[in-house]
Amino acid sequence: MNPTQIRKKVVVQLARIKSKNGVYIFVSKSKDYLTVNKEIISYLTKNLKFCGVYISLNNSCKTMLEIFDKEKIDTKKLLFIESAGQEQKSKVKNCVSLQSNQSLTELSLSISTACKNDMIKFVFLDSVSTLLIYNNLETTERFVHYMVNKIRNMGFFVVLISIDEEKSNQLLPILSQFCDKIIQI
Amino acid sequence: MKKILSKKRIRTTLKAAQRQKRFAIKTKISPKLKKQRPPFQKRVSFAKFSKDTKKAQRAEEFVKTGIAGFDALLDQGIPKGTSVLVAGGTGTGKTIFCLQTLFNAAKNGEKCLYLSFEESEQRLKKHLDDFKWDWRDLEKKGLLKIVRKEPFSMTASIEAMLAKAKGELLIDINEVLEIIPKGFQPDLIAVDSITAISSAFGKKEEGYRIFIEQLFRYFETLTITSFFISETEQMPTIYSSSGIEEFLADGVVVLYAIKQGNIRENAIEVLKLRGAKHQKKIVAMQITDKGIEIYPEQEVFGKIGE
Repeated sequence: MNPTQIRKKVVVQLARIKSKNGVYIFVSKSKDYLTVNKEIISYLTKNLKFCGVYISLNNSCKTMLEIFDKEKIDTKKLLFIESAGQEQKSKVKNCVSLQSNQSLTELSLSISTACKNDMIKFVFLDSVSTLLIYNNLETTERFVHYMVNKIRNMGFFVVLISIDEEKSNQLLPILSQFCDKIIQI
Repeated sequence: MKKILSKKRIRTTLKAAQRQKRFAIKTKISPKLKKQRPPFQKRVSFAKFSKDTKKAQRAEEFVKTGIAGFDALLDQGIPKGTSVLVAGGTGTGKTIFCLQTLFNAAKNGEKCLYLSFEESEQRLKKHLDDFKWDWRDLEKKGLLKIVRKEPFSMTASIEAMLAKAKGELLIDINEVLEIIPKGFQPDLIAVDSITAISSAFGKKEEGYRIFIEQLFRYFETLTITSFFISETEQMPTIYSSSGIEEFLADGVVVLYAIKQGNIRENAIEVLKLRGAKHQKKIVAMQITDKGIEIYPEQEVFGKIGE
């Protein structure tokens, strides 16, 4: 799929969701993953005019800001939580750096704190697959289940990104029990 | 016979009719009665007042640690005059937990004594400074005292004392050891740590056991709320060096540093607390610039017992 096709597919799928809360898992091919992320964030911030939390487990906050700026996404609408194992803490104002990708408790606490902001309407987790690199399947399931239920009860629109590969696909049957829709891109 | 039976039947049916009538009257009248009754809130106001008073009285019987999130794990607090074992591995925050509790209590006007058998007074005071807890004013007012004791020099005196008082149920420990400085009557005491005392006794385990039991009893008779720090393994299954302290203590608070990959996550648990209701779960904890912060609703994702 080329970027235009991805954009079309993402927009169609998101437009079908009438609810402003709920949990949605987007499964994409690894090569399309970044484009899918950009398109979802673009739709949420531009079309729905939502402010949200972007949890970046793969790229630093600085890298994500550069990517989003190129797409003319208003990054002021985003609160970043970076956990890409950065050696130095980010100097970006709207960014929280975590100690490690392995500290799920710390990540969970940071998400909870970020969600206390009244402006926040969505939470975007990039990605569930990365959690599986550093944590085992059982711990990841427990974390996602706990976090998703917590955020859902707060009335947020939750987007989880998962890469279409063997390890992540093991998680999908469990995630499907407590998410509203799994969207294949 | 028939006549008698019919009379009996008549009587029973009459009684039943009367009962029905009474019930009907009651059900008819009750809505009116309800209207005549004073409003519900007014009726319960006295009960509420007495309940509040009782609650306030009960609150005086409990100690709050003032540690963010910790008191939420307890229904009312730590019962005054009880002993609490603060157990955990290295770097779990036991000393900070006790220093913070005593500092907060001293700020509320309670007299607190921190008895160190490990770190020097200067180092402990530096810990307080690191968290920007202004202890100087409290020390001046006589509300907070940090005293360093040498465990090895104490052991000899303890042994002599125990030999002299063999068979006695309660020994006046303070007379010999002067654990509590003369003229200072603390409400709260922290002993840091019973592990250091235990190792000073070496192989004389029996002596240590008698002494530690006497120490628990001594604080209890003076109605001092005491905190005994105990150094354990990172994932403890017993919470003290001899294993008897957790039975002697009224409460056990366990601090964890759970290994998760190549990092450690802090967590805390109230294992037991006699005479007080408490939550029975391991929750997340962080040591921040302001001291210990506990998150009573936050699950810990590291594996306990790994």
